[in-house]
Amino acid sequence: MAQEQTTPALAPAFSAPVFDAAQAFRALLTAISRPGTIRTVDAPENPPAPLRRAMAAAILTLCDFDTPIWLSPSYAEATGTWCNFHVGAPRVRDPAKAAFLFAPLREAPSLLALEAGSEAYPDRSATLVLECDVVGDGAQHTLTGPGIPSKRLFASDALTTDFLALWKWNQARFPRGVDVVLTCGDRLAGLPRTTQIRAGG
Amino acid sequence: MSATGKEAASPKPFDRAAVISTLARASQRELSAALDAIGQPDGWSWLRAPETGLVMVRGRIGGGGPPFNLGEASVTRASVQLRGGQTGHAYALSRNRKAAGDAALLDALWQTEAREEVEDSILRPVRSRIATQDALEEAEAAATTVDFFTLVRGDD
Repeated sequence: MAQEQTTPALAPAFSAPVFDAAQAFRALLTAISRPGTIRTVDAPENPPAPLRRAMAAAILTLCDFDTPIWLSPSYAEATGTWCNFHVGAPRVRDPAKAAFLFAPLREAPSLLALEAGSEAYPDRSATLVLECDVVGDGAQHTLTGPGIPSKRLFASDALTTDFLALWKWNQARFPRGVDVVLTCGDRLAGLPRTTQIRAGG
Repeated sequence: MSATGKEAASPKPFDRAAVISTLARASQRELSAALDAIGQPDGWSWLRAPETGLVMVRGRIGGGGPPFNLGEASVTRASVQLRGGQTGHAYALSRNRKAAGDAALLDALWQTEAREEVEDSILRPVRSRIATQDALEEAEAAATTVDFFTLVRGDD
């Protein structure tokens, strides 16, 4: 009992937990229901490196003790204690067992490996949150599908050729599938499983 | 809740769990008096501002038997961080946010060079108050004890 008499330094989470979490939840909900639109969050003020603001807000807002989460190796190493303290979500090693997954793009797990729900319960699927270098308006890709009036132009370095191939496959198994949230600094955008992505403007 | 009369008798230094447990049982007045005496640390921040929630209190009849839910109790928790990086935590039964915040600060201060002051100004007094209270309650309860015994029945 006496071996650990002090606890390590930690970064704070939301300064106004109720309002900040509501704002972040609203941002995430809007981003996912209107795929390709960009939302920004203002909190937490000082997320622990390497987490950036929108990524930290997503972790704090989406997860609790009921949601198994998977953190990429670099996130787990640098912010595992912070997540345990502020969120208290069980952490899993196997990406297939997680409800929410958080990673920078270079450590992204394959969509193939994630829980996609079942035909009867497609809502029991995983949500993958990826930190990118680019999330924004641009003419790189065209999004269509529910939540998009006709089409929406979108750009992100997450949408590689490999990703687009997997995304097609992710859509083929509808209603099962994985939803994706892309973050970049304090900005975030949603790519639900219903969104079709086509290269080009 | 391990701060019982038996512990109070031995003058061994506190360990962290005992510190937090003792601070949880200190009153708001005791906590703010101690904090006034030691002085607020400069440059601390909330790691988790005081917040009140519920915990389910469970019991077992006679200390054995299957556990049952007795009811929910209000618990307030708070965590602070000093400039030096020491973090203090507090969980206490009550809805008193000020008390939880003060208790967390004192727990953080206990990890600094102010440890002796924390022990002298709050931990020892509170521990002896709790011991006195416990002894009083035990004495009151003991006065009403009924020792049952069975007379030998002459039917065999």
